[in-house]
Amino acid sequence: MVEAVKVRNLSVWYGSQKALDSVSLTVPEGSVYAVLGPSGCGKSTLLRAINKLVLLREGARVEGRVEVFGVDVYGDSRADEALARVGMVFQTPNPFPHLSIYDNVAIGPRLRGAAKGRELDELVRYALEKAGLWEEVKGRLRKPASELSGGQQQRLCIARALALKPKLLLMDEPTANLDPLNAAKIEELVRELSREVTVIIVTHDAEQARRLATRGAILFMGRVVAEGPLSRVLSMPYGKLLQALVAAHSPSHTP
Amino acid sequence: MMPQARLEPLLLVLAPAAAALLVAAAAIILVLAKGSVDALAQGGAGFLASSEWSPSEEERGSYGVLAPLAGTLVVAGIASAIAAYLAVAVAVYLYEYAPRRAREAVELSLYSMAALPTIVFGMWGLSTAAPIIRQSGLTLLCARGSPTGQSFFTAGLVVGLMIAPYAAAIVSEAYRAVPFTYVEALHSLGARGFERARVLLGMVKGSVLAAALLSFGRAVGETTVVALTVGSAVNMPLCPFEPGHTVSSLIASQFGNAYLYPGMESVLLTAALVMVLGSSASTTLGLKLARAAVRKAQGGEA
Amino acid sequence: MRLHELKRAVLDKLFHAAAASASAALLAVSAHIIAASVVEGLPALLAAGPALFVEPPGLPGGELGGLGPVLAGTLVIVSLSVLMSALIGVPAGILLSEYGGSWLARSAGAALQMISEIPSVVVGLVVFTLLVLPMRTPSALAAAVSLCITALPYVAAQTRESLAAIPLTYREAAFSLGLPRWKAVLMLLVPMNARGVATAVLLGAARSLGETAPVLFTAGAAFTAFYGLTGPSSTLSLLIFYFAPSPYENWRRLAWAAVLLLVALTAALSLAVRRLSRGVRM
Repeated sequence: MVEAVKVRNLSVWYGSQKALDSVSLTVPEGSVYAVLGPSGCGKSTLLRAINKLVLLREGARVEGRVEVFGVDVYGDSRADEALARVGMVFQTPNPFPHLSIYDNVAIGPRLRGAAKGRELDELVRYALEKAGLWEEVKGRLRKPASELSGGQQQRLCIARALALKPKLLLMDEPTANLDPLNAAKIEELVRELSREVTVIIVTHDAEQARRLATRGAILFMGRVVAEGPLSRVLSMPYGKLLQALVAAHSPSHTP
Repeated sequence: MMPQARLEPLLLVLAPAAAALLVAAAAIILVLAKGSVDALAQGGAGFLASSEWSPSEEERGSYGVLAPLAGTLVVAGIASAIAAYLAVAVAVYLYEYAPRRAREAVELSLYSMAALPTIVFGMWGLSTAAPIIRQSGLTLLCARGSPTGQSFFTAGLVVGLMIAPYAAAIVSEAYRAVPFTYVEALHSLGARGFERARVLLGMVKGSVLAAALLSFGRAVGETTVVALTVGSAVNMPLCPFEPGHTVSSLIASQFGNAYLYPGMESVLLTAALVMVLGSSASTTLGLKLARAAVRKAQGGEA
Repeated sequence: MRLHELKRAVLDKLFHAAAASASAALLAVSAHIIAASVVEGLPALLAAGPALFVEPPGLPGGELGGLGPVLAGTLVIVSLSVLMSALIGVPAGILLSEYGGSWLARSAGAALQMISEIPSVVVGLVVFTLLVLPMRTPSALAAAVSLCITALPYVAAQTRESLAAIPLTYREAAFSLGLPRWKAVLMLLVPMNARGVATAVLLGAARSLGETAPVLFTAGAAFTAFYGLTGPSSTLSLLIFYFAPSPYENWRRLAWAAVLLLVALTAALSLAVRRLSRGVRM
């Protein structure tokens, strides 16, 4: 089993507040891995600790070890190379509003110098197709991204990440702010992507995790309380508690 | 909210203050208007397009203000370009590159610069900036290059430096207002400092224009700094390193004895009116754009 | 691909350098201005000694002398200006904040807006035409009026903002006591906001101290003696304006001494304003 991400004894502080306490887990390559837990348990912090975005916050401090594709991202000099293969999709769709649809997808490859001209056009098409958005936008690539609906914007963000051909995709509650129809579309997308890309998906919805992931971890107050194959994780006491919490607070999804 | 009685006692107490304000504002408008009417009655609007300035104590003087009007445009143009450039550079430095100590130092210096009286900048311009310009040899680039270092460029430079903190505040406020999620997105795409700055500035480019317009408006009206650094010569600004005049510096040097020269006062008042109109148009537009830019930065999504 | 990455790294370093150097330039300029004021002004201050506060400037090319009449003029003019701008500006601010919708407030607001956009030299021109010419002499009074008008927008705006910042709960409490509105405002809201009003007044003082253009034609250039309220006078900033370009060294030194005094006074006022506005967080 090749590891995409290996986390060992990871602790994160924001100033004097401890957000993650000695978290350890392993994400095998080519799988979908779910990170579950109630609000404020540290799921988003964990995700951002993997691609080092956590360091952007004021007073953030990291201890422990995070390996991405075998590279220690906090210590190794090759960390930037390893992280170049990691993409991220955020909870609220955030395409750059002043850029066109085309430019939003192209921005990653342009920065990297990965493609130009005709090659770039094909790369953009590839990313939009993979994100399931091509048919809907192919006639208006030069229009501003802000014209798209919420669900379309999120797929655009997925395309933006995919344009860099990542090996690992971090998704922070990607369907939390979407209606059920768009959420279902994105879940379908994740299933397809997982054939080529390792996906770590943060979600507060245990049913979504069950639908998409094979392995997972439950976080509570910054600590891992369950980890491993998802069916086992969800059948443990915390898992049942989580399902009950979710069922009590949200209308049930039909997959 | 609270019911408002029309003739409340408090309104009567506050009314004199309001009245004083209205009187002041009206007085300004009237004096400028009368001056302009007088000037136009004297000999038409030709003085606005003439650069011949030869005062005479008889009725024969000519008071063409084209050179100072052009000088105002040039000095304000240079000043707002410098202020806008510095504003963008400082905003990018503060938010993309500066370590915390450096950021605090820069913010402190911006604050103190904004608090200094303009005359102090004028003194600095005269004692430090002008000699530097002179010694740099830049004045040799111009046919009538300034012998003292006082020139259109010097005035524009010092005024630009003086206004830069205000311009920087406008751009910084908008830059800071961009939601953090876009910053995170840029980092996740591997964008470096200048690449992030390019995208984020693109989201707030209205604020840069606003900063330029506000700086332009302020620079048009600036008097004491310009009077000490521009060189006080009636000269068309064809080359920036020559001495010259702006409307404000001309007024500063000539208005005191304008009563000796028939017709000069009303010409100067008219030029002042033009200056007022130009300055307030630029400032008002700039303020509108600045507010719009912050709103746009915050509510960036559709 | 490696070359491209190198190019990105180099460009990033270049932009970093450009941004840092611009910030450093501003830092250097502000530091140099203050340093020059001290380096040039302090020796002059010390050389003049206590005579600085009493003696008039020396003859051109002669002894140093002092800033006595200038300081007296500055004191009188700025005090008068602060008083007038407080008397007009604070009530105006109250009007704008508490009766904002009324036509009186809206026209006063428009007048203030207009005044704030006008270059201060123009205010001086107008006061010259309306006050100095009829009086046939520049005067401390005219200078004070000029400075007062220039400071009004700041005083009024600051008063209005600090009143507007009073939290809703305190407002509701003040109005719920059954008092007539004017009593509630004058006897409760304004005193509650004393710091805000003090800040506004200090702000007016800082503006008055720092402006030169409004007094250029209104104060006169009486550096050698103080002639009272209706006679020609001068201020520190005016002395700097006239003496700085002078060919006489003793006058230039006096100008620097005045610069140092002005910077120190302005710094003190700014610090006081900052302290006050940080003060009460209700």
